[in-house]
Amino acid sequence: MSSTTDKPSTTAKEQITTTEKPVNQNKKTLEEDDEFEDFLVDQWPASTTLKDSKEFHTNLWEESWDDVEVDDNFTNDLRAEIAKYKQEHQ
Amino acid sequence: MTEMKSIVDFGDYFQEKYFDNYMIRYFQYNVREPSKILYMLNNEHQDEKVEEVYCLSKKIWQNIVEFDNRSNKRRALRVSHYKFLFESIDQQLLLMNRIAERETNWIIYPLFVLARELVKVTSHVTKILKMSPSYIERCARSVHRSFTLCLNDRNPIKDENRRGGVYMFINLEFKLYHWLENRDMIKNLVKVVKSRQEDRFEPLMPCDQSLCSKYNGQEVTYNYYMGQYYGCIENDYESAFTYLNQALFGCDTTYLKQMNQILILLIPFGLLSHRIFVGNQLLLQIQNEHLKRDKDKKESHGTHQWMCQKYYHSVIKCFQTGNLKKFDNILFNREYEIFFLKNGVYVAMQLLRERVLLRLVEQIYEMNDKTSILPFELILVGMKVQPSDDMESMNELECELACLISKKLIKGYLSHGNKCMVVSRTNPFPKHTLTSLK
Repeated sequence: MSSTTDKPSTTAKEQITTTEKPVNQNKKTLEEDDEFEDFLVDQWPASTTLKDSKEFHTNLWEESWDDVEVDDNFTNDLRAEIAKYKQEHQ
Repeated sequence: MTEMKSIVDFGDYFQEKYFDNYMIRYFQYNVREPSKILYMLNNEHQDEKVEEVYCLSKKIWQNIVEFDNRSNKRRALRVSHYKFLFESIDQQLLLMNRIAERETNWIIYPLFVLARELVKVTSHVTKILKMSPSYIERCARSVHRSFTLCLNDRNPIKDENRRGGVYMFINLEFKLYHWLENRDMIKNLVKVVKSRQEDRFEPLMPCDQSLCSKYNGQEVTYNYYMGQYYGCIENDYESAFTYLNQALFGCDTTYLKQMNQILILLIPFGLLSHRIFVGNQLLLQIQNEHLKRDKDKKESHGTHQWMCQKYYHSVIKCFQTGNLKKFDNILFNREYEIFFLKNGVYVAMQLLRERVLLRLVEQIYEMNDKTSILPFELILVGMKVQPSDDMESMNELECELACLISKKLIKGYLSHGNKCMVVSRTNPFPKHTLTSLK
Protein backbone atom coordinates (compact mmCIF):
# COMPACT_ATOMS: atom_id res chain seq x y z
CA MET A 1 0.00 0.00 0.00
CA SER A 2 2.74 2.36 1.06
CA SER A 3 4.75 1.56 -2.06
CA THR A 4 1.87 2.58 -4.30
CA THR A 5 1.43 5.85 -2.51
CA ASP A 6 5.15 6.50 -2.57
CA LYS A 7 5.51 6.03 -6.27
CA PRO A 8 3.44 8.89 -7.54
CA SER A 9 5.08 11.24 -5.08
CA THR A 10 8.55 10.44 -6.42
CA THR A 11 7.45 10.88 -10.01
CA ALA A 12 5.92 14.17 -9.05
CA LYS A 13 9.23 15.15 -7.51
CA GLU A 14 11.05 14.17 -10.66
CA GLN A 15 8.63 16.16 -12.70
CA ILE A 16 9.28 19.23 -10.61
CA THR A 17 13.03 18.89 -10.98
CA THR A 18 12.82 18.38 -14.72
CA THR A 19 10.60 21.41 -15.17
CA GLU A 20 12.76 23.52 -12.89
CA LYS A 21 15.93 22.86 -14.77
CA PRO A 22 15.28 24.84 -17.95
CA VAL A 23 13.91 27.75 -15.90
CA ASN A 24 17.18 27.96 -13.95
CA GLN A 25 19.20 27.76 -17.11
CA ASN A 26 17.25 30.59 -18.65
CA LYS A 27 17.68 32.67 -15.55
CA LYS A 28 21.40 32.17 -15.80
CA THR A 29 21.53 33.32 -19.40
CA LEU A 30 19.49 36.40 -18.54
CA GLU A 31 21.94 37.39 -15.84
CA GLU A 32 24.96 36.69 -17.99
CA ASP A 33 27.15 39.68 -18.60
CA ASP A 34 26.54 41.36 -21.90
CA GLU A 35 27.85 44.86 -21.32
CA PHE A 36 29.75 46.65 -24.05
CA GLU A 37 33.26 45.28 -23.94
CA ASP A 38 36.17 47.66 -23.41
CA PHE A 39 38.58 48.18 -26.26
CA LEU A 40 42.15 47.15 -25.54
CA VAL A 41 43.44 50.47 -26.82
CA ASP A 42 41.95 53.96 -26.89
CA GLN A 43 43.34 55.02 -30.23
CA TRP A 44 43.49 53.54 -33.72
CA PRO A 45 44.24 55.01 -37.13
CA ALA A 46 41.31 55.92 -39.38
CA SER A 47 42.51 53.36 -41.91
CA THR A 48 41.59 50.44 -39.63
CA THR A 49 38.01 51.55 -39.04
CA LEU A 50 35.10 49.90 -40.76
CA LYS A 51 34.48 53.16 -42.59
CA ASP A 52 37.80 52.90 -44.44
CA SER A 53 38.05 49.14 -44.45
CA LYS A 54 38.95 47.43 -47.67
CA GLU A 55 38.51 43.84 -46.54
CA PHE A 56 35.07 44.23 -44.98
CA HIS A 57 31.86 44.64 -46.85
CA THR A 58 31.00 48.24 -46.03
CA ASN A 59 27.99 48.73 -48.22
CA LEU A 60 26.05 47.87 -45.15
CA TRP A 61 22.59 49.16 -45.66
CA GLU A 62 20.28 47.75 -48.24
CA GLU A 63 17.15 49.61 -49.09
CA SER A 64 15.92 47.60 -51.99
CA TRP A 65 13.03 45.37 -51.12
CA ASP A 66 12.63 44.06 -54.63
CA ASP A 67 15.51 41.63 -54.85
CA VAL A 68 13.83 39.09 -52.60
CA GLU A 69 14.70 35.60 -53.74
CA VAL A 70 11.88 34.34 -55.89
CA ASP A 71 12.43 30.73 -54.86
CA ASP A 72 11.56 31.58 -51.26
CA ASN A 73 8.83 29.14 -50.23
CA PHE A 74 6.71 31.72 -48.53
CA THR A 75 6.81 34.16 -51.46
CA ASN A 76 5.89 31.40 -53.88
CA ASP A 77 2.97 30.22 -51.72
CA LEU A 78 1.79 33.80 -51.32
CA ARG A 79 1.92 34.43 -55.03
CA ALA A 80 -0.05 31.22 -55.70
CA GLU A 81 -2.73 32.16 -53.16
CA ILE A 82 -3.13 35.66 -54.55
CA ALA A 83 -3.38 34.28 -58.09
CA LYS A 84 -6.05 31.84 -56.92
CA TYR A 85 -8.01 34.62 -55.24
CA LYS A 86 -7.79 36.77 -58.34
CA GLN A 87 -9.12 33.96 -60.53
CA GLU A 88 -12.04 33.31 -58.18
CA HIS A 89 -13.01 36.97 -58.08
CA GLN A 90 -12.78 37.88 -61.70
CA MET B 1 73.84 42.51 -21.34
CA THR B 2 70.98 43.68 -19.22
CA GLU B 3 68.60 46.22 -20.60
CA MET B 4 68.90 49.75 -19.28
CA LYS B 5 66.21 50.72 -16.81
CA SER B 6 64.44 53.97 -17.53
CA ILE B 7 64.29 56.28 -14.58
CA VAL B 8 61.22 58.43 -14.42
CA ASP B 9 60.68 61.30 -12.03
CA PHE B 10 56.95 61.30 -11.34
CA GLY B 11 57.08 64.92 -10.14
CA ASP B 12 58.35 66.16 -13.51
CA TYR B 13 54.97 65.63 -15.12
CA PHE B 14 53.30 68.02 -12.73
CA GLN B 15 56.01 70.60 -12.93
CA GLU B 16 56.28 70.56 -16.69
CA LYS B 17 52.58 69.83 -17.28
CA TYR B 18 52.72 66.98 -19.75
CA PHE B 19 52.22 63.22 -19.78
CA ASP B 20 53.76 60.37 -21.70
CA ASN B 21 53.39 56.58 -21.90
CA TYR B 22 55.41 56.13 -18.74
CA MET B 23 52.97 58.24 -16.78
CA ILE B 24 50.01 56.35 -18.24
CA ARG B 25 51.62 53.04 -17.35
CA TYR B 26 52.18 54.33 -13.84
CA PHE B 27 48.45 54.16 -13.24
CA GLN B 28 47.85 50.93 -15.15
CA TYR B 29 48.69 48.54 -12.39
CA ASN B 30 48.14 45.43 -14.47
CA VAL B 31 50.58 46.37 -17.23
CA ARG B 32 53.24 48.20 -15.28
CA GLU B 33 56.75 46.95 -15.95
CA PRO B 34 58.89 47.50 -12.85
CA SER B 35 61.80 45.66 -14.46
CA LYS B 36 62.01 48.28 -17.16
CA ILE B 37 60.95 51.48 -15.47
CA LEU B 38 62.02 52.89 -12.14
CA TYR B 39 59.69 55.55 -10.82
CA MET B 40 61.01 58.01 -8.30
CA LEU B 41 60.06 61.36 -6.84
CA ASN B 42 62.42 64.23 -6.34
CA ASN B 43 61.41 65.64 -3.00
CA GLU B 44 62.35 69.23 -3.59
CA HIS B 45 59.57 71.72 -4.28
CA GLN B 46 57.04 68.99 -4.50
CA ASP B 47 53.38 69.34 -3.95
CA GLU B 48 52.01 67.45 -0.96
CA LYS B 49 49.24 65.85 -2.93
CA VAL B 50 51.56 64.65 -5.68
CA GLU B 51 53.70 63.09 -2.99
CA GLU B 52 50.69 61.36 -1.50
CA VAL B 53 49.73 59.96 -4.90
CA TYR B 54 53.28 58.70 -5.32
CA CYS B 55 53.40 57.06 -1.89
CA LEU B 56 50.03 55.37 -2.41
CA SER B 57 51.24 54.03 -5.72
CA LYS B 58 54.30 52.53 -4.06
CA LYS B 59 52.13 50.80 -1.47
CA ILE B 60 49.73 49.51 -4.13
CA TRP B 61 52.56 48.13 -6.18
CA GLN B 62 54.13 46.44 -3.16
CA ASN B 63 50.82 44.84 -2.31
CA ILE B 64 50.38 43.56 -5.87
CA VAL B 65 53.82 41.98 -5.89
CA GLU B 66 53.22 40.32 -2.54
CA PHE B 67 49.84 39.05 -3.66
CA ASP B 68 51.24 37.65 -6.90
CA ASN B 69 53.93 35.78 -5.00
CA ARG B 70 51.45 34.02 -2.73
CA SER B 71 50.88 30.50 -3.89
CA ASN B 72 47.68 29.88 -1.99
CA LYS B 73 45.23 32.63 -2.81
CA ARG B 74 42.35 31.88 -0.50
CA ARG B 75 39.16 33.87 -0.82
CA ALA B 76 39.85 35.82 2.37
CA LEU B 77 43.22 36.82 0.97
CA ARG B 78 41.76 37.86 -2.37
CA VAL B 79 39.03 39.84 -0.64
CA SER B 80 41.47 41.77 1.53
CA HIS B 81 43.80 42.38 -1.43
CA TYR B 82 41.08 43.78 -3.66
CA LYS B 83 39.57 45.78 -0.82
CA PHE B 84 42.98 47.35 -0.31
CA LEU B 85 43.31 48.02 -4.04
CA PHE B 86 39.89 49.65 -4.15
CA GLU B 87 40.51 51.88 -1.14
CA SER B 88 43.97 52.95 -2.30
CA ILE B 89 43.05 53.65 -5.92
CA ASP B 90 39.90 55.46 -4.80
CA GLN B 91 42.06 57.60 -2.52
CA GLN B 92 44.48 58.21 -5.38
CA LEU B 93 41.66 59.29 -7.68
CA LEU B 94 40.39 61.64 -4.98
CA LEU B 95 43.83 63.25 -4.73
CA MET B 96 44.25 63.40 -8.49
CA ASN B 97 40.83 65.05 -8.77
CA ARG B 98 41.97 67.74 -6.36
CA ILE B 99 45.21 68.20 -8.28
CA ALA B 100 43.33 68.29 -11.59
CA GLU B 101 41.10 71.11 -10.38
CA ARG B 102 44.01 73.54 -10.64
CA GLU B 103 45.60 71.96 -13.71
CA THR B 104 44.90 72.49 -17.40
CA ASN B 105 43.64 69.82 -19.75
CA TRP B 106 46.99 67.98 -20.02
CA ILE B 107 45.94 66.01 -16.95
CA ILE B 108 42.66 64.67 -18.37
CA TYR B 109 43.92 61.50 -20.01
CA PRO B 110 46.08 60.32 -17.07
CA LEU B 111 43.15 61.10 -14.77
CA PHE B 112 40.86 59.08 -17.02
CA VAL B 113 43.25 56.12 -17.02
CA LEU B 114 43.33 56.16 -13.22
CA ALA B 115 39.53 56.41 -13.02
CA ARG B 116 39.23 53.47 -15.40
CA GLU B 117 41.59 51.50 -13.20
CA LEU B 118 39.24 52.09 -10.28
CA VAL B 119 36.31 50.91 -12.41
CA LYS B 120 38.24 47.73 -13.26
CA VAL B 121 38.93 46.99 -9.61
CA THR B 122 35.28 47.72 -8.78
CA SER B 123 34.26 45.23 -11.44
CA HIS B 124 36.45 42.56 -9.89
CA VAL B 125 35.26 43.32 -6.37
CA THR B 126 31.56 43.21 -7.21
CA LYS B 127 31.37 40.71 -10.03
CA ILE B 128 34.01 38.11 -9.26
CA LEU B 129 34.21 38.44 -5.49
CA LYS B 130 30.47 39.26 -5.36
CA MET B 131 30.92 41.97 -2.75
CA SER B 132 28.40 44.70 -1.97
CA PRO B 133 27.22 46.99 -4.82
CA SER B 134 28.04 49.92 -2.52
CA TYR B 135 31.53 49.74 -4.05
CA ILE B 136 29.99 50.62 -7.41
CA GLU B 137 28.23 53.59 -5.83
CA ARG B 138 31.44 54.83 -4.25
CA CYS B 139 33.33 54.39 -7.50
CA ALA B 140 30.60 56.29 -9.36
CA ARG B 141 30.86 59.17 -6.89
CA SER B 142 34.63 59.49 -7.43
CA VAL B 143 34.33 59.25 -11.22
CA HIS B 144 31.54 61.81 -11.13
CA ARG B 145 33.92 64.26 -9.45
CA SER B 146 36.32 63.88 -12.38
CA PHE B 147 33.38 64.44 -14.73
CA THR B 148 32.30 67.63 -12.95
CA LEU B 149 35.76 69.14 -12.81
CA CYS B 150 35.84 68.79 -16.60
CA LEU B 151 32.30 70.01 -17.20
CA ASN B 152 32.55 73.06 -14.96
CA ASP B 153 35.92 74.36 -16.10
CA ARG B 154 35.51 78.07 -16.78
CA ASN B 155 38.99 78.61 -18.20
CA PRO B 156 38.46 80.95 -21.19
CA ILE B 157 41.59 79.68 -22.96
CA LYS B 158 40.22 76.96 -25.23
CA ASP B 159 43.45 75.01 -25.58
CA GLU B 160 43.68 74.61 -21.84
CA ASN B 161 40.06 74.06 -20.93
CA ARG B 162 39.23 70.65 -19.47
CA ARG B 163 35.71 70.41 -20.89
CA GLY B 164 36.88 68.21 -23.76
CA GLY B 165 37.34 65.36 -21.31
CA VAL B 166 33.68 65.20 -20.30
CA TYR B 167 32.70 62.38 -22.66
CA MET B 168 35.41 60.01 -21.50
CA PHE B 169 34.17 60.13 -17.93
CA ILE B 170 30.58 59.83 -19.11
CA ASN B 171 31.53 56.48 -20.63
CA LEU B 172 32.73 55.23 -17.26
CA GLU B 173 29.59 56.53 -15.57
CA PHE B 174 27.35 54.84 -18.14
CA LYS B 175 29.09 51.57 -17.41
CA LEU B 176 28.69 51.95 -13.64
CA TYR B 177 25.02 52.94 -13.86
CA HIS B 178 24.38 49.89 -16.02
CA TRP B 179 25.90 47.73 -13.32
CA LEU B 180 23.64 49.45 -10.80
CA GLU B 181 20.73 48.99 -13.23
CA ASN B 182 19.85 52.59 -12.55
CA ARG B 183 18.11 54.11 -15.55
CA ASP B 184 17.34 57.37 -13.77
CA MET B 185 21.04 58.09 -13.26
CA ILE B 186 21.65 57.45 -16.98
CA LYS B 187 18.75 59.73 -17.89
CA ASN B 188 20.04 62.49 -15.63
CA LEU B 189 23.51 62.25 -17.06
CA VAL B 190 22.24 62.54 -20.65
CA LYS B 191 20.00 65.43 -19.61
CA VAL B 192 22.87 67.37 -18.04
CA VAL B 193 25.09 66.93 -21.09
CA LYS B 194 22.29 67.84 -23.47
CA SER B 195 21.47 71.04 -21.61
CA ARG B 196 25.16 72.02 -21.59
CA GLN B 197 25.44 71.34 -25.31
CA GLU B 198 22.52 73.66 -25.84
CA ASP B 199 23.88 76.39 -23.58
CA ARG B 200 23.52 79.78 -25.27
CA PHE B 201 26.75 81.30 -24.04
CA GLU B 202 29.18 78.47 -23.53
CA PRO B 203 27.90 75.43 -25.42
CA LEU B 204 29.70 72.17 -24.70
CA MET B 205 31.38 70.81 -27.82
CA PRO B 206 29.92 67.60 -29.31
CA CYS B 207 31.77 64.33 -28.70
CA ASP B 208 33.53 64.25 -32.07
CA GLN B 209 35.09 67.64 -31.38
CA SER B 210 36.16 66.79 -27.85
CA LEU B 211 39.19 64.90 -26.63
CA CYS B 212 37.40 61.79 -27.90
CA SER B 213 38.30 62.72 -31.45
CA LYS B 214 41.85 61.80 -30.47
CA TYR B 215 40.86 58.72 -28.51
CA ASN B 216 38.46 57.28 -31.04
CA GLY B 217 37.91 54.11 -29.03
CA GLN B 218 36.19 56.31 -26.48
CA GLU B 219 34.16 58.00 -29.20
CA VAL B 220 32.84 54.64 -30.39
CA THR B 221 32.02 53.68 -26.80
CA TYR B 222 30.16 56.96 -26.24
CA ASN B 223 28.17 56.53 -29.45
CA TYR B 224 27.29 52.98 -28.45
CA TYR B 225 26.00 54.00 -25.02
CA MET B 226 24.03 56.93 -26.45
CA GLY B 227 22.50 54.66 -29.09
CA GLN B 228 21.59 52.17 -26.41
CA TYR B 229 20.08 54.96 -24.31
CA TYR B 230 17.88 56.31 -27.10
CA GLY B 231 16.85 52.91 -28.46
CA CYS B 232 16.39 50.87 -25.31
CA ILE B 233 15.27 53.54 -22.82
CA GLU B 234 13.69 56.37 -24.81
CA ASN B 235 12.35 54.33 -27.76
CA ASP B 236 13.73 57.02 -30.06
CA TYR B 237 14.96 54.75 -32.82
CA GLU B 238 15.95 57.53 -35.20
CA SER B 239 18.49 59.03 -32.76
CA ALA B 240 19.60 55.56 -31.68
CA PHE B 241 20.25 54.64 -35.28
CA THR B 242 22.41 57.73 -35.88
CA TYR B 243 24.61 57.08 -32.84
CA LEU B 244 24.99 53.36 -33.43
CA ASN B 245 25.70 53.76 -37.11
CA GLN B 246 28.50 56.16 -36.23
CA ALA B 247 29.79 53.74 -33.62
CA LEU B 248 29.88 50.88 -36.10
CA PHE B 249 31.71 52.74 -38.84
CA GLY B 250 34.20 54.23 -36.39
CA CYS B 251 35.01 50.82 -34.91
CA ASP B 252 38.36 49.19 -35.58
CA THR B 253 37.65 46.02 -37.57
CA THR B 254 39.80 43.87 -35.30
CA TYR B 255 37.16 44.27 -32.62
CA LEU B 256 34.62 41.80 -33.96
CA LYS B 257 32.85 41.32 -30.65
CA GLN B 258 32.16 45.03 -30.26
CA MET B 259 31.02 45.28 -33.88
CA ASN B 260 28.64 42.43 -33.20
CA GLN B 261 27.37 44.11 -30.03
CA ILE B 262 26.69 47.32 -31.96
CA LEU B 263 24.87 45.40 -34.67
CA ILE B 264 22.63 43.64 -32.14
CA LEU B 265 21.03 47.04 -31.48
CA LEU B 266 21.58 48.64 -34.85
CA ILE B 267 19.74 46.03 -36.92
CA PRO B 268 16.31 46.33 -35.27
CA PHE B 269 16.65 50.12 -34.88
CA GLY B 270 17.62 50.49 -38.55
CA LEU B 271 14.61 48.46 -39.61
CA LEU B 272 12.31 50.55 -37.43
CA SER B 273 13.64 54.01 -38.17
CA HIS B 274 14.62 53.80 -41.82
CA ARG B 275 13.15 50.52 -43.04
CA ILE B 276 16.59 49.43 -44.16
CA PHE B 277 18.37 46.25 -43.35
CA VAL B 278 21.92 45.06 -43.00
CA GLY B 279 23.05 42.97 -45.92
CA ASN B 280 23.81 39.40 -45.00
CA GLN B 281 27.33 39.74 -46.37
CA LEU B 282 28.75 41.79 -43.50
CA LEU B 283 27.08 39.59 -40.89
CA LEU B 284 28.49 36.46 -42.49
CA GLN B 285 31.87 38.11 -42.83
CA ILE B 286 31.97 38.94 -39.12
CA GLN B 287 30.95 35.40 -38.24
CA ASN B 288 33.48 33.75 -40.56
CA GLU B 289 36.29 36.06 -39.55
CA HIS B 290 35.53 35.29 -35.94
CA LEU B 291 35.54 31.55 -36.47
CA LYS B 292 38.82 31.85 -38.34
CA ARG B 293 40.46 33.78 -35.52
CA ASP B 294 39.14 31.31 -32.97
CA LYS B 295 40.70 28.51 -34.97
CA ASP B 296 44.01 30.36 -35.23
CA LYS B 297 44.05 30.91 -31.52
CA LYS B 298 42.91 27.31 -31.00
CA GLU B 299 40.24 28.42 -28.60
CA SER B 300 36.55 28.87 -28.74
CA HIS B 301 34.59 31.72 -27.20
CA GLY B 302 31.32 29.91 -27.64
CA THR B 303 28.50 31.06 -29.80
CA HIS B 304 27.73 34.38 -28.12
CA GLN B 305 30.11 36.46 -30.17
CA TRP B 306 28.44 36.00 -33.50
CA MET B 307 24.92 35.78 -32.23
CA CYS B 308 23.94 38.60 -34.49
CA GLN B 309 23.94 36.48 -37.61
CA LYS B 310 22.23 33.64 -35.79
CA TYR B 311 19.38 35.67 -34.36
CA TYR B 312 18.75 38.26 -37.01
CA HIS B 313 19.12 36.22 -40.16
CA SER B 314 15.54 34.96 -40.07
CA VAL B 315 14.21 38.26 -38.71
CA ILE B 316 15.61 40.11 -41.73
CA LYS B 317 14.28 37.41 -44.02
CA CYS B 318 10.77 37.79 -42.57
CA PHE B 319 11.10 41.49 -43.23
CA GLN B 320 11.98 41.02 -46.83
CA THR B 321 9.21 38.57 -47.53
CA GLY B 322 6.51 39.76 -45.10
CA ASN B 323 6.31 36.35 -43.51
CA LEU B 324 4.25 37.36 -40.47
CA LYS B 325 3.58 33.86 -39.23
CA LYS B 326 7.26 33.00 -39.08
CA PHE B 327 8.02 36.30 -37.39
CA ASP B 328 5.44 35.51 -34.69
CA ASN B 329 7.09 32.14 -34.18
CA ILE B 330 10.43 33.87 -33.68
CA LEU B 331 8.93 36.22 -31.08
CA PHE B 332 7.45 33.31 -29.16
CA ASN B 333 10.62 31.22 -29.26
CA ARG B 334 12.01 31.16 -25.73
CA GLU B 335 15.68 31.33 -26.71
CA TYR B 336 15.08 34.28 -29.01
CA GLU B 337 12.86 35.96 -26.44
CA ILE B 338 15.69 35.82 -23.88
CA PHE B 339 18.17 37.16 -26.40
CA PHE B 340 15.90 40.11 -27.20
CA LEU B 341 15.19 40.80 -23.52
CA LYS B 342 18.84 40.61 -22.52
CA ASN B 343 19.86 43.07 -25.16
CA GLY B 344 17.05 45.53 -24.53
CA VAL B 345 15.47 45.16 -27.96
CA TYR B 346 12.34 43.31 -26.89
CA VAL B 347 10.08 46.35 -27.27
CA ALA B 348 11.66 47.14 -30.62
CA MET B 349 10.98 43.60 -31.81
CA GLN B 350 7.33 43.90 -30.77
CA LEU B 351 7.08 47.13 -32.76
CA LEU B 352 8.73 45.47 -35.73
CA ARG B 353 5.81 43.08 -36.03
CA GLU B 354 3.62 45.74 -37.64
CA ARG B 355 6.40 46.48 -40.11
CA VAL B 356 6.39 42.84 -41.19
CA LEU B 357 2.66 43.17 -41.73
CA LEU B 358 3.35 46.31 -43.74
CA ARG B 359 5.74 44.39 -45.97
CA LEU B 360 3.15 41.64 -46.40
CA VAL B 361 0.52 44.15 -47.48
CA GLU B 362 3.01 45.68 -49.87
CA GLN B 363 3.83 42.27 -51.33
CA ILE B 364 0.14 41.48 -51.79
CA TYR B 365 -0.38 44.87 -53.45
CA GLU B 366 2.42 44.15 -55.91
CA MET B 367 1.23 40.62 -56.64
CA ASN B 368 -2.27 41.98 -57.19
CA ASP B 369 -0.95 44.03 -60.15
CA LYS B 370 -0.73 47.18 -58.01
CA THR B 371 -4.48 47.66 -58.01
CA SER B 372 -5.27 50.50 -55.62
CA ILE B 373 -8.23 48.73 -54.02
CA LEU B 374 -7.18 46.02 -51.62
CA PRO B 375 -10.08 44.05 -50.15
CA PHE B 376 -9.53 42.98 -46.52
CA GLU B 377 -10.42 39.50 -47.63
CA LEU B 378 -7.46 39.43 -50.02
CA ILE B 379 -5.04 40.51 -47.29
CA LEU B 380 -6.47 37.84 -45.00
CA VAL B 381 -5.90 35.27 -47.74
CA GLY B 382 -2.28 36.38 -47.77
CA MET B 383 -2.04 36.10 -44.01
CA LYS B 384 -3.41 32.59 -44.04
CA VAL B 385 -0.80 31.28 -46.47
CA GLN B 386 0.83 29.44 -43.63
CA PRO B 387 -2.18 28.57 -41.55
CA SER B 388 -2.24 29.03 -37.81
CA ASP B 389 -4.73 28.33 -35.04
CA ASP B 390 -5.16 31.93 -34.07
CA MET B 391 -6.32 33.37 -37.38
CA GLU B 392 -6.72 37.06 -37.34
CA SER B 393 -10.18 38.36 -37.78
CA MET B 394 -11.14 41.02 -40.25
CA ASN B 395 -11.68 43.54 -37.44
CA GLU B 396 -8.23 42.95 -36.06
CA LEU B 397 -6.74 43.42 -39.50
CA GLU B 398 -8.68 46.64 -39.99
CA CYS B 399 -7.26 48.02 -36.73
CA GLU B 400 -3.72 47.09 -37.69
CA LEU B 401 -4.11 48.69 -41.13
CA ALA B 402 -5.50 51.84 -39.50
CA CYS B 403 -2.35 51.98 -37.35
CA LEU B 404 -0.12 51.71 -40.39
CA ILE B 405 -2.03 54.50 -42.15
CA SER B 406 -1.95 56.77 -39.09
CA LYS B 407 1.80 56.30 -38.86
CA LYS B 408 2.04 57.35 -42.51
CA LEU B 409 3.54 54.00 -43.46
CA ILE B 410 0.73 53.48 -45.95
CA LYS B 411 -0.82 56.28 -47.97
CA GLY B 412 -4.47 55.43 -48.25
CA TYR B 413 -7.77 55.06 -46.42
CA LEU B 414 -10.04 52.32 -45.15
CA SER B 415 -13.57 51.72 -46.25
CA HIS B 416 -15.35 49.92 -43.44
CA GLY B 417 -18.54 49.55 -45.46
CA ASN B 418 -16.86 48.03 -48.50
CA LYS B 419 -14.38 46.12 -46.33
CA CYS B 420 -11.37 47.26 -48.24
CA MET B 421 -8.36 49.55 -48.18
CA VAL B 422 -7.81 52.06 -50.96
CA VAL B 423 -4.18 53.04 -51.42
CA SER B 424 -2.75 56.06 -53.16
CA ARG B 425 -1.80 55.69 -56.82
CA THR B 426 1.51 57.44 -56.20
CA ASN B 427 3.97 55.93 -53.77
CA PRO B 428 1.48 54.07 -51.56
CA PHE B 429 4.26 52.63 -49.36
CA PRO B 430 6.56 55.59 -48.72
CA LYS B 431 10.04 54.84 -47.48
CA HIS B 432 12.34 57.11 -45.57
CA THR B 433 15.20 58.02 -47.79
CA LEU B 434 18.72 57.58 -46.59
CA THR B 435 21.16 60.39 -46.75
CA SER B 436 24.85 59.98 -46.14
CA LEU B 437 24.72 57.13 -43.70
CA LYS B 438 28.33 56.28 -44.07
